Amino acid sequence: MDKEIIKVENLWFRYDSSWVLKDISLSIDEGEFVGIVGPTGSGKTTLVKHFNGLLKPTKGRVLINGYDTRKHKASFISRFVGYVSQNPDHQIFSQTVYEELAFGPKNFGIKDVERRVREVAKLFKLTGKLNSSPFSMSMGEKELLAIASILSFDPKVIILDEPTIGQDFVSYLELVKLLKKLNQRGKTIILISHNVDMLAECTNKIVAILNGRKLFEGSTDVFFEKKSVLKKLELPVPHKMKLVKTLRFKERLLDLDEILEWFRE
Amino acid sequence: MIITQYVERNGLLHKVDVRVKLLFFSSIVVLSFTTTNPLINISLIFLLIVLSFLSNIAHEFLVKIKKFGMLVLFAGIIWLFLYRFSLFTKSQASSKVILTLGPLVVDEVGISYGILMPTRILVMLLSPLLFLMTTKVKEFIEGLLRLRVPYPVAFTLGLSTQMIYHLGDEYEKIKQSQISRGLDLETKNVFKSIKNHVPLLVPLTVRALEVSEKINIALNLKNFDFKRKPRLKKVRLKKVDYFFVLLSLLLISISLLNVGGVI
Repeated sequence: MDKEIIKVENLWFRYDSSWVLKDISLSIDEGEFVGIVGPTGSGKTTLVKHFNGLLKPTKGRVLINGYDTRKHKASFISRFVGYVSQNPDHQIFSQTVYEELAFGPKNFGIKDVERRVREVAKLFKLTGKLNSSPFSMSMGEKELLAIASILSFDPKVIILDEPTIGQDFVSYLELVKLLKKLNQRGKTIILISHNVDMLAECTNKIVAILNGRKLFEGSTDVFFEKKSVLKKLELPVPHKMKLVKTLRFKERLLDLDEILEWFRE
Repeated sequence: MIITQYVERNGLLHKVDVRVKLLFFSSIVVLSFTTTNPLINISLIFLLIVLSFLSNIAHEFLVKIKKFGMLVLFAGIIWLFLYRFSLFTKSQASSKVILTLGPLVVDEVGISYGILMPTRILVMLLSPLLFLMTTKVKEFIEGLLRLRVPYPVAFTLGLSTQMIYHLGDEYEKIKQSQISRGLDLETKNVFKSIKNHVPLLVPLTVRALEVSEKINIALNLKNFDFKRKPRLKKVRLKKVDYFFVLLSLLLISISLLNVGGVI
């Protein structure tokens, strides 16, 4: 059995007067690629902000790598769970890309910052831009830089909150490819997205939230077959699922590579 | 929730005319500033809390008061000991010493200032807060126009209240983004805490400029012109407005008596 990295037990949370999260329990294992779905304002971002201690439960508890988030600072829990916010401009402040990538490792007192920065820059194809200003980058590049600056301190889990907003199609494909690569290397990834094609392509587990309550938790292929759940969430069926149904594949194929392989055979 | 956000309710203060509300909250601030009696400031805080209950926003208001807790406590401690070094405070020559803690002396005047100043700060923070929580930006601008404030000034003031809301929201998001990269903002070391706030200021300044630019573009796209002043409907003051005018006059009278040294 895989090691449980995130455990949420009967989580209730309210900002002021109204409850935003109501009695949510779930668990995420190391190496999983989890999609969090739900309509705008359903509590997705509020939920994931509990995963690195940015928010503390009003009732219930959240355990990250065995640590109770109520008893530890967010800056400590963040060592295990990195959160990439919706807007990369919220975190960029350094004069150069290098400094931006080195910020996290320095804060956590990690040795060998230089090597980490170079490695991450290579992975994200940012090596040639290490001395340039992050403020002059395009939105797609800034998004990649934001993810890279989290990955540079090597957290066990990476949370991405709507990473495809404002991205062109090429950047989107690059991002999908990169996230799949990171997951294959053992990184646990949590993705908040409304993009069903991206969810079907990347994730192997879905957690659906509706009005602050958990509506579904299970495998991605089961999720996209539950028409009643999709209807409640007002989500369309992914294109690949439609293709699979139209061509009457016997196997449950979700990955584009799997479909191409099937055709070759 | 952002601290200055308008709360949509059918409450008492929501029904009061903006001009009257401006007069009322200004008179509260003036009284708080002119009085040297801590009991008056405590009464004003109590009045604001009662009004929040009558406006059905008590929960939201009380949650926000809690956020000022540390500031008020800090101000209280500072004034308790350090009022002696201020040029603008009463002479402590005749004040009865109650406690001596090494170089720090607690006396009667110090205790009086230790209560007066934090409660004054609290009144000055809570009054505009309650005003903004019960007044829409549109109503605020219209109210200023009815008071014959020039349109560009009224519009800019109204917009600035929106900017506080936007920047508060942005600040919270930026803070969370940087904490996620291990930035320790909860450190007890004051110098380290100040240094650690630098990564928040740069993105906040950039976002503030971006928001201003977006507003500017949006106004230009809608062909906005300060010369075209909006038409205002005629409004009549209601009974509740007259009640608050009377209350304001009472508060101003107390202020004048304070200044005159009568009470």
